[in-house]
Amino acid sequence: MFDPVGSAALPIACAITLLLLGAGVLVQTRLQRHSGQLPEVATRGNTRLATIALLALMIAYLLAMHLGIRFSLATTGFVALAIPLICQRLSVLPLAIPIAFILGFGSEWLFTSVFFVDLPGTR
Amino acid sequence: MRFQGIPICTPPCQYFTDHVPVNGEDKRIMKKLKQLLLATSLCITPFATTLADYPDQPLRIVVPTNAGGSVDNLARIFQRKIEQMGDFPAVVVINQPGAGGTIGTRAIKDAPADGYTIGIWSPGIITSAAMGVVDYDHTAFTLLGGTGRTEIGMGILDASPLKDAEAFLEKARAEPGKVVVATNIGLPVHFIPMMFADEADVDFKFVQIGGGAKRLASILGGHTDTALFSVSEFKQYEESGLRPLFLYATERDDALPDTPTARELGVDMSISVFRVWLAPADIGETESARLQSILQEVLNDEDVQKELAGLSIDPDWIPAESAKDMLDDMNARTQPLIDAARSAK
Amino acid sequence: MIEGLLTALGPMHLLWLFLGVSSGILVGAIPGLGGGMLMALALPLTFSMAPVDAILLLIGMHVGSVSGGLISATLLQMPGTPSSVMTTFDGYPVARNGHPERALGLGIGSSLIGGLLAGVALAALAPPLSYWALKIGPWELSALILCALVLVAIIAQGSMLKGLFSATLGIIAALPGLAESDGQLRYTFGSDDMTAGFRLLPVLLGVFVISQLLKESDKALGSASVIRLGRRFSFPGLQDWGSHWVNLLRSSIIGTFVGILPGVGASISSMVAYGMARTFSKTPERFGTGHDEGVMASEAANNANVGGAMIPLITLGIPGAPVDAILLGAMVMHQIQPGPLLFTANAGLVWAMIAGYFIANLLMFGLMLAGYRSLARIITIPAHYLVPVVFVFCLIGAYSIGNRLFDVWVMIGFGVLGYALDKARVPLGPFIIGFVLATPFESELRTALQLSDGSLLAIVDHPLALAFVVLAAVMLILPLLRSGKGAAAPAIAAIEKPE
Repeated sequence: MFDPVGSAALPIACAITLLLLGAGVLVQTRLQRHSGQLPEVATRGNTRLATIALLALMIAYLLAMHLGIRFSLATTGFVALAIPLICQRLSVLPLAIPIAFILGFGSEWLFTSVFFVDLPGTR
Repeated sequence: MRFQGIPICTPPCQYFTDHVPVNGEDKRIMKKLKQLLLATSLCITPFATTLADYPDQPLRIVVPTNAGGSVDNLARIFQRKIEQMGDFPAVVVINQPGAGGTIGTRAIKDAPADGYTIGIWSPGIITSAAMGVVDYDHTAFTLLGGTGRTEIGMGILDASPLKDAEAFLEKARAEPGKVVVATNIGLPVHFIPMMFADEADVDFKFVQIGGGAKRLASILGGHTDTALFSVSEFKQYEESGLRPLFLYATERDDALPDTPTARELGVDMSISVFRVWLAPADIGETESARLQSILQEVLNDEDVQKELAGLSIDPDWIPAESAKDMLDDMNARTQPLIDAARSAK
Repeated sequence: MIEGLLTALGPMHLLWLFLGVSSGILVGAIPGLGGGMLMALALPLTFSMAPVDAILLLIGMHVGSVSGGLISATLLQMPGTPSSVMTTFDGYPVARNGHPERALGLGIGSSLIGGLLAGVALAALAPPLSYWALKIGPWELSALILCALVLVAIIAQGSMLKGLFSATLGIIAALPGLAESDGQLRYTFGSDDMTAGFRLLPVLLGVFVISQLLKESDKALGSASVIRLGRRFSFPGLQDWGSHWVNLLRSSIIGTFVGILPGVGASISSMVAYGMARTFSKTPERFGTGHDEGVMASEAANNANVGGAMIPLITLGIPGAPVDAILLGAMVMHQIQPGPLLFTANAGLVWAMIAGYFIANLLMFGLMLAGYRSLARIITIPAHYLVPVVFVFCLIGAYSIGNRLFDVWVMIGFGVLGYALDKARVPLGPFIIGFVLATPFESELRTALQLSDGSLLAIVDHPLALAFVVLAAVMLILPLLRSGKGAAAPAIAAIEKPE
């Protein structure tokens, strides 16, 4: 019994605080909405499909390296696909592909052959 | 509690060549020569084909702490020397800190057993298992051996009114639970003073302070009374105001001739710590033997010996069996203390 | 001293220093990569160098990387290093309002001032300061961190509830892993990867960078380059600096002081400095909307932190931060023993280090000044190029802290969380403040209570700790009193700013 506080004190305090604050935020939002302070339409815009696709692409990129695909290849693929995806024009491909190659193979060479740092999939 | 005798290294056996650092062309010739020597010497074994290629990739030394600590420094002394020796095309130190070193030890355990990933760690490998942080101990690895054996002991603020170890022990006996020990809970710096308290029948108050730098600052700032330090730390921080009280050594250390041992105080306890070289459990015998001879060869180098001496680190190589005995001993002495160490809840 | 200055000014030494500073700025500016990684990579190279060169290279890298972080924090709202988190709050709005050059100028100038003031402390007051800092124990530390935690409430004004909600979430994110106070695991859900909890770098990159990347791709096409660069040279003039000298001095002192304390990082120093600047500002409501004072406080403090952390390193051999442990390692490898004896046994080296630190700051200033107008153009790079490239660097950075893909998953997970919180108009600043402060606050407080056998009243024996608690209370109450007088503060605008 040398630690009078214990590891559970802070987590419990946080959980209670979080519940209270969450409830408070909900009530506040309701009230503001009723009194018309908060516009229904969020000014921030909705999530675009492209963003969800980008997230999916990021996850696929990581999964590829989990499956043992080398960093250079996975990165080249990711960058080459992500650039046209975000700007939604295929016309950027001629620039996207060289960028992807330089980034993928260049950084793998720099990190693994010069600095001897492991990158995912290089071992 | 008796201390089990540790057979400290017999004169290091010379496996291949008396190695002198050579550069460039010579190095490559030497390497070829060594490979040839190795191949011929092992023609009789069925493993000759796999060995002809080994080592032809960079060697990774996993260090389970951040860059810059004492384990890291030791690893980098080896890194520099092994690279000079030219057996491996490159030698890399990989720092994988976290969770009391267990992120790093787990990485070593799970690395491919191809002889290109090894690691170095402390007796913390025993205590992490004892605390239940991991479910494996030193037996889950192939032990390559040990280095950097150093005596340890308790230190105190130089300005403290406690003049010597006797006064310290007297106070600890007179006022149970009043002498505050700065520790890192669940690591050797916690368990070893616990062993002492057990043997000396005193009651220390253990307080979580953190890593080595924080423990030192805590002692120097007078927030805690005492903590575990190594001889090299005692030498290093002598001028900063750290004073050794006593060592857990079997006999007085040459570097601190005025510091008594626990035995002289009538407490029959001795222990020293060292760094253990680890490899994944399934590593081949030839790779393991080769790595052991390389590590051992590093310690034959004069520069390395000088460097280690500067850090008050014992330059002797601890063979794998002795390292295992020391860790087994540590384990046996840690087990009875587990409940007390975990009783923080 | 003059000898040391001359040593550090030798052309070869200057070259190493220059190399260190420039590579540091570059790495610092790239979100994901940081000074710690750079210095660890350079460590083996330093073995074969002369001791002075090795140390100057590493010092240059440290100074450069902390300063470089402001570039991406200011221009992209992505902290390049953890210590520049607070810079995003005000630096980015200034840039966003069409003055990226001014925003950079403020950051660069404040970095120089902070760095130099800490250098003065290092050169003139190192021994007394480091001995005094030893008196800061667990009570004092936990009270100091409490001051920084109060900052959460301050900067979240206007949407106080959401700010506190976000901070609590941040604290919860810091809970899993090995709890050092009792050496046991908690909330790891049986996963080996979770034993080290969530690391700062992946969480920071996720919440501030990945969420930002997702948001960028949310924007309508072609809107990425809405910011027009100011046409005239707009480096802040003498008047700008003169009228804020109190803030600059205070922030530099805070940065230096926090730097001296072992185990308290550079990000905490800029958090405390930012909170203090806001508390004592005449116009606290402008913080978070692109206020010069906010940029100055953050950048002066984080650069002063570098110099502050060298004080205990040189005088006692105690590294003030993990990065300084690398510096200590390099010194030990060169058979140099930092400590009180260093000043007598190796005075030349000490003064070379101190002079090197000053010159590194000047070099940093010169390099950034030379490049900042072209750097400001980074802000006009279209999002579709920026987003994938930044993501790849973040991935490398998150992976390399432990060679684990787990950390990369953590980064993406927190990126999605940050994105969702942002959509729900929950500010992200308090989240990261809560995350950074939770662990040191909990451990220091638990240590303090271990020392006092659980009695909170023991704090009366620690006047300095009491003073910090009072200061925290002042920081909490003063803005409330002020806002009661009318000037209601807007919600923290750095993150909440409408697009």
